Amino acid sequence: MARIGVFICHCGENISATVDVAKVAEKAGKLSGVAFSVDYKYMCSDPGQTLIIEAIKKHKLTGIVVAACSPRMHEGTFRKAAEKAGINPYFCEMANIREQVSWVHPKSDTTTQKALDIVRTLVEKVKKNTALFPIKVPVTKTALVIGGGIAGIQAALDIANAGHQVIMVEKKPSIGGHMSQLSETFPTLDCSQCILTPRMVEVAQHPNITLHTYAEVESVSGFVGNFDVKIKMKAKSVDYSKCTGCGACWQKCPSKKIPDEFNEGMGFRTAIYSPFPQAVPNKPVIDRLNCTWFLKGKCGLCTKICPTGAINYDAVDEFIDVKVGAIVTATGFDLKHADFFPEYGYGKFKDVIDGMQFERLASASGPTAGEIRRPSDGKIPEKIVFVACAGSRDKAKGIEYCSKICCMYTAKHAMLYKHKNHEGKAYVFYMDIRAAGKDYDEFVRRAIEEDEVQYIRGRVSRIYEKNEKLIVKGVDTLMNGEPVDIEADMVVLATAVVANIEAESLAQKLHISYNKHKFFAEAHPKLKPVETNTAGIMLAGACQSAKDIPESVSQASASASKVIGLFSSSELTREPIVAVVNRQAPPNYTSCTGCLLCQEVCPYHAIETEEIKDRAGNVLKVVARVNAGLCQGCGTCVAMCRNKSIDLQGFSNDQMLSEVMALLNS
Amino acid sequence: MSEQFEPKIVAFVCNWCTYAGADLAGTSRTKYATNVSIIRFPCTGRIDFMLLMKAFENGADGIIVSGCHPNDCHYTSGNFHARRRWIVFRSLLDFMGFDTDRITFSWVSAAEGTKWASLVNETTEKIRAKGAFTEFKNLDLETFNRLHDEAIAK
Amino acid sequence: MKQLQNKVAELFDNGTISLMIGFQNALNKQPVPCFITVASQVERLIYTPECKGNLAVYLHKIEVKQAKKVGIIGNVATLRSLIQLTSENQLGDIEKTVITVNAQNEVIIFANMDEVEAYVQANFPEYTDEDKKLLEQLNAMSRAERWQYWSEQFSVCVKCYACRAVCPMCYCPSCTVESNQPQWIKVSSETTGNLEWHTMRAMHLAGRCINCGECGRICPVGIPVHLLTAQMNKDIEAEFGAKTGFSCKSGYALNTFKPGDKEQFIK
Repeated sequence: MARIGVFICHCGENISATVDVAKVAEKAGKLSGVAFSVDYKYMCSDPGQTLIIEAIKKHKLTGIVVAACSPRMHEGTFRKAAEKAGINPYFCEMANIREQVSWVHPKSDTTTQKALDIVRTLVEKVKKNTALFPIKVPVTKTALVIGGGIAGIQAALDIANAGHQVIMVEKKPSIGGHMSQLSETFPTLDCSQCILTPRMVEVAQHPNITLHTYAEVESVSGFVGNFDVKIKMKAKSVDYSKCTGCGACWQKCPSKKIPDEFNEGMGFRTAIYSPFPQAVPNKPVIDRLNCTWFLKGKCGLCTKICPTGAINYDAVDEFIDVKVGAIVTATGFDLKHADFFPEYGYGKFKDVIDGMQFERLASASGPTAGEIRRPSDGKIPEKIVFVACAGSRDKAKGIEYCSKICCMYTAKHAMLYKHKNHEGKAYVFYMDIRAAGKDYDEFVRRAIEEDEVQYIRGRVSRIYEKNEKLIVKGVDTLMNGEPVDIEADMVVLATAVVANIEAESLAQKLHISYNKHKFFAEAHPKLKPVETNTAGIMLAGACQSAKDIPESVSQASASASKVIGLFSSSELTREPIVAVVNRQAPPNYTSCTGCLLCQEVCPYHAIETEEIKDRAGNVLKVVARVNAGLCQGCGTCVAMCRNKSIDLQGFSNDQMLSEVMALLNS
Repeated sequence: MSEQFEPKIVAFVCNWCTYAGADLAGTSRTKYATNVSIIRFPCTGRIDFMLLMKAFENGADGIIVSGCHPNDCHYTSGNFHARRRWIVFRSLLDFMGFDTDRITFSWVSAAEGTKWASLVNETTEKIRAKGAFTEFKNLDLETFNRLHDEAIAK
Repeated sequence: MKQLQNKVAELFDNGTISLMIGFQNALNKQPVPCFITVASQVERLIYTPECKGNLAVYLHKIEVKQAKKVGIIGNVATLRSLIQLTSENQLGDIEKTVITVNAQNEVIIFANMDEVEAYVQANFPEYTDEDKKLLEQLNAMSRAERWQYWSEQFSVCVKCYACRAVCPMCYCPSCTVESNQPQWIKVSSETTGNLEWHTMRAMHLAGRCINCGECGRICPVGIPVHLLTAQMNKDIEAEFGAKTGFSCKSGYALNTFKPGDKEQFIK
């Protein structure tokens, strides 16, 4: 005989402002099977939970319905309370009368009635609930870090230093990410490579870290604690076990005119190449798309020169399978190329460049050895215009968010230019100055006051070339919208930060969510910024949203701590929301006919076959069986089964039918 | 002044996308019609067509079925299987002369709170314009009356 | 006929079969199924165009399963049933000997299911002209007219479940319609419940039915229920390219998908 307790939360005024909670509690108390019904201001608070626990004990409740916020918020909280009170936690259900009723409807009788309808629906469901017990699965204490930028490096080091194994996969020939391309970093103006490279070396040498560069994640299957990952090791064409990194090959390689990705197309590299001098590992790969040997079958100079015979033209892509317990995505960002701003002439005028290209010019290891020079004629520019917000915060252009880092790096770029060219003039067209971090505003003030960078509040409408100069047409909104025309020698656009170009396909491989801009979705925007909705997969760095280096590092350490927490016990407790194929007494043994049409639909291959045998060992029938360790509880098999032999615990046929009936019959 | 007809609409949604999207509509305080009540499923793949039939049998005037966009299913492929099932189910209903416009299928992601609200409002108005689903509810009464009348006419 | 009888007698004699499921002369109206257990009974066997019926349905019966070595004769529709059942892992406990008589009146005894599959694929049947005409008529009607048609038809259904009994693909020992905890479909013969029953049957058979038409033929009140599944199979073949009773490896349209499946109705 069911004795259900109903607890209606006011949630302060969030629910009680539009729903008559006292009335709902009163009417719910009259529902068949409800033994106790009460309303209270804050159910999730300590006294609220105590109220529930005492009620369960006092009224000998067999199940509870907490009508409050979304179960996505507090189902766990109330299930724990039920457990404390001595009943199986799966006899607790939540009725969502806040996000889906009180917050979206006006105060009225209809709204109160709707809340009651939903409470009634969940009461009927709970009556059909059964006791469920957590499933224990082993945890593989190896983490996979996807991406070798500063966030990936930090996460890998933190996890490795905690004593766990880490596998890092980086698609480029070297780790380091975008930070390795920077010249100096704000707000301290210390050399980016100088602070980064020791970390890179630490990763390469750490006994707990296995580094795979020039590799990509091919596929991921499994679930938290037990992921099976296939990694594609792209053919480097160089045998790293023989290569010593002497550099003879790329020094002599005759293909010297390949646009250099590391230098953002502002310089050239060879076909066999190491991306930058401090690359880790400092061994080259061959770019088969541009190598004469692979294109025409000629040359082969590197093979002849290599002292250790490390060149291997016949190398093929290899695939390895690894088992990991957790995954950290640290795939970073890209800069939006400003070809969608035809009015700024990026791509058309050689001297209009973006922020990363400026970094390479300013960089001592860059194509101009650190001298700021015009890409068109190599002259030193006397006037540079920096355009902030070139693409961000613009709904019409499709990027309505702020890219966060540009105000700071624009100030930095202007300062670097002025430090190198004391007589030069630097102008910044800005909308706002977002310098909220520690020492950030002081940094920008320094640019304005000490380095005499001229900040003009207004946007640029057009840039065009005239007599080898770039005419920048802007406006000064603080001077009543007075037009400002500047004859610049160079223009640097602070283009939008966008997600890594392969973010979407990686997200689909991992089954994690992403927003319309392809930034990965965190589990909760405030309270779970480093986890995803997919258990076992964490986020670190700019792949989640545009952020600077200190934040990327903090987030990486945070996600590492989540991984370390996951690895802190040898067994993982999984929610028992899994499918089960029924078993009955002989002679049926089960109503399953063994058609196995359910097997195909399971994305986790959780449906196996079982031979039902008699005592003599003769096989009577072959039927389906669910491996509870693999089942993730989607229930697609349940909807597939014609005679309902397979059912989903927590969302069973009985429970769902009861909900439909209860919702429509008062 | 007659009261406006208030249709009863049941929404079968998946927990990870549409339910979260509806929660987001709530967090954003977007206002929408009260006529739609949600039943939460782990995945659209779990939604049995028989539950839709039972909903109509018990008085629903309209139904919404909604889940994750293709390629974004939390369980990888549940929504793909659901899609095929709906294509076939809808074709069967249409062949039997059932008004398939009474069932609205959609993909609403966890970030699409406004889309959910619009969907609820549009569906409510659409079903309101169609009126109560008497065609289904009166099945027995109608046929009985007709057969009875025909028998008397003979 | 003589050829068929002799061949079946041979099968008994060399121990290939211990039970033959075939047809015998009509008692009242048309030929009926017959079950022969010894060679001496083979004279009862006939095979004429009047032999209507999909004998594959008997392969689920426990008495037949206990016989272990079973011979069965049928037309292409029956052969398709066997193929579909094989793809659903249903006939593994019987050693079947499959026999058919082709258009040239030759008796063919298949060595294995691969040969059956090859024969079926080479002689894949079309819908009958009558069914094609009926489907065309129904599809030409307006939605309201179709609703009128089918609700009238369902109003006379007596819930005898003969359609289920005669169908080889309805082999679940416990059918959902018999569940009363919870009760999914009303048992009594009232139109709403009848509609639900036929919807459920059509959905469970969509992509599995091999269009033998037996269900429609057998209905005591003459409801053309076979048209529901016929239409479903047409749609499924058009949308997804899946054919039923075509291959012994499962090609069930509803447990597979293509990321590119198209529809116009999902918002």
